[in-house]
Parts: sequence; structure tokens; C-alpha cells
Amino acid sequence: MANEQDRATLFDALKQVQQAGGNLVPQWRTDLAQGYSHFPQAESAEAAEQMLQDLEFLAGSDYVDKVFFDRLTVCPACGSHHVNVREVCSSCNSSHITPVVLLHHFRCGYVGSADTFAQAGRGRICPKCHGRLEDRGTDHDVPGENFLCHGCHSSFQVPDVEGLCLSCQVRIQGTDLPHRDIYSYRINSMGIAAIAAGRLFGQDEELLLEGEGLPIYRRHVITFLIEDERNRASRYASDFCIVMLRLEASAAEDMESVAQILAGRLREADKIGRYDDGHLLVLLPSTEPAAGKIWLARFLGDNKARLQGKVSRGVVIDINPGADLAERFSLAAAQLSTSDVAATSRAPEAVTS
Amino acid sequence: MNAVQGFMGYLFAAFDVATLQGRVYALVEQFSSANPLFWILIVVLCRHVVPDVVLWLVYLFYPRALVPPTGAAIPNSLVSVVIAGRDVGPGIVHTVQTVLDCGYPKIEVIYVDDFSSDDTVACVRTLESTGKVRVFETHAHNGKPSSLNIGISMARGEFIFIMDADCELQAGPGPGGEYANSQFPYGVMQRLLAPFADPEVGAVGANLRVRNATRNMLTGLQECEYALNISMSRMWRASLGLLSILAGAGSIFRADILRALGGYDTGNGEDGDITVRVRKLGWKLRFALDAVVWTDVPENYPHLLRQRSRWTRNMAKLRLHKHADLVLVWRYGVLNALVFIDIVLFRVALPFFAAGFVVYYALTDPFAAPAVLTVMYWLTIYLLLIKLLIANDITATPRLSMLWLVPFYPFYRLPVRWVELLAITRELLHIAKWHPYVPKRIWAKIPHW
Repeated sequence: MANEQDRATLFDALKQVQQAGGNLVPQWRTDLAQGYSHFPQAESAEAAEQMLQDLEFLAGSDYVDKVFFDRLTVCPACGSHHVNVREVCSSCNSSHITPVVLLHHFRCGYVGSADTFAQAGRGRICPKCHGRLEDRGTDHDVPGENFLCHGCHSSFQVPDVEGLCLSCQVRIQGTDLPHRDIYSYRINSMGIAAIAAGRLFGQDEELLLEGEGLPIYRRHVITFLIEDERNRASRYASDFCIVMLRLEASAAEDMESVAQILAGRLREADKIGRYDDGHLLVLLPSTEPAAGKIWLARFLGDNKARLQGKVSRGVVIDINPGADLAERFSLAAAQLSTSDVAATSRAPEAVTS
Repeated sequence: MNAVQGFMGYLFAAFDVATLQGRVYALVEQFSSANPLFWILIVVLCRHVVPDVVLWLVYLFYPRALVPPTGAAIPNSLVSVVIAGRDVGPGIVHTVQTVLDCGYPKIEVIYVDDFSSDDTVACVRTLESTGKVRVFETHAHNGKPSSLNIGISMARGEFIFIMDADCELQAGPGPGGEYANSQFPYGVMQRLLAPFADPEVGAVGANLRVRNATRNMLTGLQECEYALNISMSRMWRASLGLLSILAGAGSIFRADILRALGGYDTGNGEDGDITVRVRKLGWKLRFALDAVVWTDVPENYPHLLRQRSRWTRNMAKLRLHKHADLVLVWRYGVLNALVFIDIVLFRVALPFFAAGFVVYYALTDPFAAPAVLTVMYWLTIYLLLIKLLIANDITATPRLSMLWLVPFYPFYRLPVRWVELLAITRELLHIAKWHPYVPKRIWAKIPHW
């Protein structure tokens, strides 16, 4: 963990997020090479960059949530977002290309650009056989569209895509253009708790809270525990199961009550962790996914009254040995947000709460 | 049974010296007769044998007349290779690669895909990174002529080489040499371009050879046929200005000519049609013997007969209907008129005459006069051997190892001839004119001669 001075700096960054209404949204700045700035009032670009790194640290420590905001195309050489992406000739890389519509006359087989067919009232005249083209699909059609390069006079169907950095003049192939994702930072309950406590929590304070129910671990801790369990299951050919529960808005601030309800249905070896303000993760070691579904159905069904207004949905997450945990969690959270019933991430069957 | 035994006796009597001598004397005596059938036979034999013999004599004493020397001036211009294909699959990569490896630096390849349903486009697009290959993918099936016209509209070269999607260019030196590396300066493209040093030459045809000749007897026989009817025949025709067709599998044109003509006309037989249209403009046509393009031939009889039926119908349609005006001497000149007459006599009239000849003898009990058929058979074999040996000497095709097929050649040609006759008859009577190669929506719009 950072030293005291760093912790103070981090805490200031957290306070800035709170002061921004709890959601620090980047501002668009065309004069900046990075395009966006989370701290437009910063003394310098370096100071703003340092503060951004502080936000990243806070997100990794589960004080704020990163929310995708925008994606920028950047120059791989200088990092500037002033990249002009355009279509170019596949032969000479000239950007002076124009689309050309081809017409194909059935009667004589002539194929040429549309402007070679003279206009004649409602239709056109074929330059080869002087027949009339009136009904597309009947006497002529458009076999496709070409691009004509005015530099080398090459015709091609699919132009290349190229990026030209307006800052350093470097040309980059379209397939090699890097991207940079921009995020907004939203304070979560952990961050609010830290603000209320007036300090960031220490490294040994892995738990989010503990009470009469089972302790609820912080996100990075429960993720570590799940990863550890996955490795153990892979080594010893055992099973494990992860359940994600969706919390209603009121329960996001009262996780302890949810933990108390869960305590009656979990074993000592089972673990609970906070994914974000709206979701809890439940780790069930030595449990097959099918058994996890049964547990979830029973938990939601047997505690329907107590969970009213707190938890209404849940899903069993299928974790393959090589799966990306963050991606699986994100998909499960998205599934719960769109589904009206509890469902498994793999099987289509649903269990109602 | 006695008749059959008698027939077989006559067939193998040719190996009897005394019998053979007697037949030769009988044949010589016919020269003093006024038998019209005999003189028709002499004309046909002269037409089919004398040109090859003359060609061989020219090759012996003045070979430069047939093959331009390696020091000949060769145009140094961009050549656009246009290939139209449909459902060719991964084989298109090899075809295009042989073009890229032909050793000619100023080249671009344009592949037009005629609405393939397989992975042809994906395969050929892998070659776009070379910077010399461009691919156009159509949204509907348009047929080969229209697809070639799309490629022609995209071509930038001063010369346009039309090639089939299932062929390949020979690497290195011409026929008779081993495959050398592509750095040999006189590859196929240079040999095709050499005749254009003459500004009056408008197009040059490549020499087609059979790639799968050793596959089975049928392909071996077709190699013999290609040697005679493509390599040798086109060589002497081009020398006399009578070349009537440039192979669609490999021919090169001045780009201006193709654009002036508006590209190919829709319908089948686009190669014969474009050849006649170029001839009508007054351009000279040449045949590059040493510019070899390899192609596959049908490996079974049904496929072969379908192919020949299609070729013959196209020939009849184009020569007898669409371009019948080629015979007008005052409009297109003597040479074009001779081309027309040659086709009418030896591609249309002669097959009917030969068929009538066979029918006549079939009705009059051929086994009562087996000498006629057996003499015709052995005469054909002797002359075939002479022609094929000449062809092998000049063009290195067919391979000498294929000559054991010669006795079977007349039997190979017989069903083909009958199919060709049937095709001509159907075309003349306008029976079932549509062919699946032409999309129905296009067929409905094109003129039908």
C-alpha cells in the first residue's frame, strides 16, 4: 500500500469524485493530445495524469467503479488523439479516391461506370449497343461499387483504411490503430464509507463489513479467492460454483441484512463478496453448477418474504478453466439487469424468485 | 459370324505386305478416276495433313518464322491479367500465383468473382497484400462475359490478358524445356507480348496444353487432340492470317481494342465471338507457340461430350448466325471470307457428309465391303502418326509416350463427332438454346440469332 503521503493524495482524489456528484465524468478538451481530461482545472498535464493514475488505483482498490465512457483512436507514436482515419487507395495509398457505381447492361454485357451511360429521360443509353436502360433488375443491374483512385487510376472494390496523425504526421494502417478507453469514475459504497471514516482503509481491512452474518469481502479479495478456488479445482478435479445475486437499490446500503439471510443457507467454507453496489458474489466450493442452481432456487424460494426488496434475482456463473473472470462477471451482471427471472448463464432454464 | 470374321480379316490384313501393296496400287489408280468421293477425300486429307507437313518443313529450315528469337523487341508495358471465376475454391490461389511468378514485372491481376458460393473470394483475397492483385466480388451471378467486362473496366494496363480461373502459366522457358525459376527473362508474358512489336497485331493467343494428360486414356487422347487442333492448327492458321479463335483460357489483347468493342458480348462462346469481332476491325491475330498455358481437360466421357456439345453449339451460333456476314469479301476482306468458308466446309458440312457416308454404308451392309472402312481406318492411323510426330517435333506435344493411343483415336473421336453433329442440328433448328452458364434474367434480354 502507498505511504502516508500517497494515501492522503489518494484520499483527496476520492474526495474529488464525491464532490463531482459521486461520478467524475471526463471533459472533452480538443486542445489536449489525450482528448479528455478528468481534471480540467489541474495545474498541468502532468498533474492531471498523476491524478488519473490515482483514480485508477482507487478503482483497483474498490473505492470507485470504472464506467466506460468513450473510446479514442490514438497515434501509436505520440499518443495523440488527433488521428485522421480515412480510406485510401490500396495501390498508392492516396486518399484521393471516389466511389464509382458500375452498371451492367444485360443485352450486350457492357459494364462501366454510371456516368458513361448517357442520361435519356427516365433511363440511360448504353454506350456500346445504344440500348435503353430503364428498369434495374430487368434490363440492367449494379454488379457492385468500385473506388477509383485519381492518383494511380487504379480501381478497387475494398479500399484500405489508414490513419494519419495530425500531430506527428505518422501514417498508420487501419488494422494497427490502437485505441484508448476513457472511463468515468463513480464512487461506490466502499468509497462512501472511506469518506465517512475520513481515511482510506488499510490493506489488512480486507473485509467490507462483518457482523452477525458472514463477512462480505471486498471485490479484489473475493476475485482472488475465486481465482484460487479455480486453480484448486483444476488441480484436484473438483467442482465449485459461483452465484451472482442482484441487489435492489435499498439493499445496496444494507448488505449486512442480506449477509444475515445468506448466513442461514451457506456453509462455513462458502464465501460472500461484493462485486459492485448492485451485485453480490457467492463462492460455493465443492459444489457442482447444477447443485448451485438448486441452491439458488431454494434460497430465493424459501426466503422470498425476507428477500423482498433486497434480492430478487440470481444467476449461476459458469467459469471455465481459461475464462476471464472479469468478463464473466460483467456478462452475468448484464444478464441480471436485462432478465426478469433468475437464470443460469449457460442453460436457458430459469428459476423464479 | 462369317461377316465379322471377314471384317476382322480385312482389318488386320493391313499388316500383310502383299495386301498392303495391292491397296496402295488401288489407291494410286484412283487418281486417274473421276470418282467424286475419292477427290473429296483427297481434299479433306490435304486440308488436314499438308499444312502440318509444310509447317514442319518451315520449322526445319526457317524456325524463326514460327518462334520469335529471344532478342526480339518486347513491349515494356503494364499487363492486366483478368480472371473471371465461380466456385473455383483454393485452386484460384495457385492460378494467380503462377501469374505473379511469371517473371514479368509490370503486371496486375484482377479477379472477378461471379457470385461464388464457396470460399473462393476469401482464398484469393489473401493475395491482395502483394499489391498486385485486386478482387471484385459481384452481388449476383452474371455469367463469364459480364464478369470479364467488369475486370476490363478495372484494368489499367496497355494489354489485357484473359485467363481461365482453373489454368496456370508455365514458369520458365517454353515447351520442351524444364520448369526453370521465374527469373528467366523470357517467360510466358514476354512471349505473348513479342508479336505486338508489329503495330498491326491486335491480339495473341497462348498455346494450351493439357495438364492432366496422364490421368487416363481419355485425357491422353485429348492431349493428342490438343496438339493437333490447337497447337499445330492455330500455328499454321495464324501464319496465313486465318486464325479463327483465340482461346478464352489464355489470350492477350490490346486494351484499347477491347474497350473499343465494349468488352465481351453476353451469351456463350465469348472467346470465339471476341476473336471474330477483333478480326472484323481489321487487326491481325497471332499465336504464341512458346507461351504455354496449362489447362485441365474432362476426365470422363459425359463431361467431355457436354463440353464439346457446348463448344459446337457456340461455334454454329456465332459462325452461321451472328457472324455470317464475315463471308462478305467487300466488307471484311478475303481472309475473313476464307475463315468463314473453312469453318462452314470443314466444321459443319464435312461432319454431316461423313455422317452420311457412315449411314450409307451402314444401310448397305458395311460388312459386305469391309475394305472401305478398314482402309479408311488405317489411312487415318498412318496420317495421325505423321501429324503427331510432326507436332511432337515442333511443339513437344503430345509426349511420345502417348503415341500408343493413336489406334484408339478414331474411336475416341466418333462419339464426339456424333455429339457435335447433334449440337449443330439443334442450333440450326433453334432447339433448347438456353445454357445454364447464362443466367436466365440475362438470357431473356440478349438477342438470339
